[in-house]
Amino acid sequence: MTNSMNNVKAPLLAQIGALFPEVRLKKDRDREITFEVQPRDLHQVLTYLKNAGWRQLSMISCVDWIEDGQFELVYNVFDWTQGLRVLLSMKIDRGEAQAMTIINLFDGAMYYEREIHEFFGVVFLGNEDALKSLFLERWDDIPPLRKDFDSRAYSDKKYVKRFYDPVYGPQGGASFERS
Amino acid sequence: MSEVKLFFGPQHPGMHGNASVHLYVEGDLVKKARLVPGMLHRGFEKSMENHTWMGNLALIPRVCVAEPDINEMVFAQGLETIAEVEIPERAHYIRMVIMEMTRILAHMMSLGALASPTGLYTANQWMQADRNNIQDLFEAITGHRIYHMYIVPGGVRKELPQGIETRILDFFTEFERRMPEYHALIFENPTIQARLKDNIMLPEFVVWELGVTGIGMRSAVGKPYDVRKVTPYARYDKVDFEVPVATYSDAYTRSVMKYYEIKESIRIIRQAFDMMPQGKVNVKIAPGNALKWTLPKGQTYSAVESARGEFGYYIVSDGKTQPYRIAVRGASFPQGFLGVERYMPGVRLDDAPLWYDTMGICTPEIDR
Repeated sequence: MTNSMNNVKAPLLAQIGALFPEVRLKKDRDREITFEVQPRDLHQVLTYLKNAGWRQLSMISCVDWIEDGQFELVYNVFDWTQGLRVLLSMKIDRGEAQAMTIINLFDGAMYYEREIHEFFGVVFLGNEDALKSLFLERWDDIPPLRKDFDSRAYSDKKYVKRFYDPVYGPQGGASFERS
Repeated sequence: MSEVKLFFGPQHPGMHGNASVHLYVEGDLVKKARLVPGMLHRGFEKSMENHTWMGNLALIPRVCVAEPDINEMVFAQGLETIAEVEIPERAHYIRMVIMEMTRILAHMMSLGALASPTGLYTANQWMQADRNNIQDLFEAITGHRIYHMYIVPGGVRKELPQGIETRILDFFTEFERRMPEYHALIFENPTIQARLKDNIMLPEFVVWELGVTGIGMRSAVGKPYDVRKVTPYARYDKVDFEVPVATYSDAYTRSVMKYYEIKESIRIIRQAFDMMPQGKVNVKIAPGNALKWTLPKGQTYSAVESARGEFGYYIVSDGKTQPYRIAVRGASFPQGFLGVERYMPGVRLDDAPLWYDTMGICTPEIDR
């Protein structure tokens, strides 16, 4: 694959490799590079990236790998001057879903963490606000974006089932026939 | 003076979409504000996992109502990256025309939205009239006025209809001739100048603190930080256009920049038609029936520059017929939540709708 970003990527890869021996390169696309990080390295890697120009946290997303018993948190940072995106993929245990917050590094992480807590049940240690509900008012089931949450079953349990006779044409027997 | 709690939205002329901002005001000064979403939450990310790759096409444009095509574009781009498919050259240029037309629509919508907080209702009526004309063009191209479902994975859904090029270019020539009237109506209006100038500031450090992108970022940082320039997609690296920037971000600057972006979008549309080659407009991204397509395993983040900033999807495929996970980055998520909470306090009550509008907040993409 042609790679127009080698002059930016080479120093980044060298530095990350030298500073963080446990960080592994996962995928290298043209303008997007994915690393696998361990939870204990996350703050250090993010701090390094922020100082090196990746000043914007674009988003945090979460993937539920239910068969492996893991959640994957993906931190997405972007460098506007060099145009290279870095994704940090971090696996955490699904049973005891906990991760350290990063609001000490990126203020903007506040509401992404809160959203992930609400929809996946991941607890971000150090972000008390993230424990409050945001979108879902009075939610009474497991977090809905987990793979074992079945929206159809929830709907059947929660709401009264209503049946409608299929009515084709105007209701109440009105007729369109012209006299 | 005692503190009063006010609900700005969900039913309020100055509110965009069905969200509510809870305001705690003392006199007419906002003391505390927070966005209360949830009234518009449709569970898009969950339903996307329950639809096939192609079946999702009807669903995704609904994520952002004012600007639906960005969703189709990020979805299509992401799938093409995962499947490693190159789409025909002609499709890139058609996509650019669609994307710029939808950007103009979105900018006109938000300029028209200045009407209700300032009382300049003529602006909204003029804007809606011209939006209608552009929607006529969309109807001719795609068959739909609001949600077009035209940009599909692998290219665009069908060939442009005959004679549409002349229709589009004629309309925009006429529109450009009338643009000075829009400038006189909106930006030279004394009420707009009094309300918007030196008001609702967005300093550079706030941009970095919250993660604001788009016009908000460019109006404060003074650099052309536009996804179309920084990481060009489609064929934006082949066309010549300017990105308006500023270093003094008041509400007026952020609004007038939309006016200049409309001009640049028209430039891009003209060039795209000039450079558009003949040929096919789509390829299959996988063999067989579109409803049984499977994609290779992979994950990618695909982003475009929307009218409000960087808009993206994080797409995960596990090799099946449906997406494993799609996460939506709404362009206005940072200013919508943390921005309202931290920086809306301190404005006057009647400026709260202007704050919400000129920061470019679109509720449906936050509350998805």
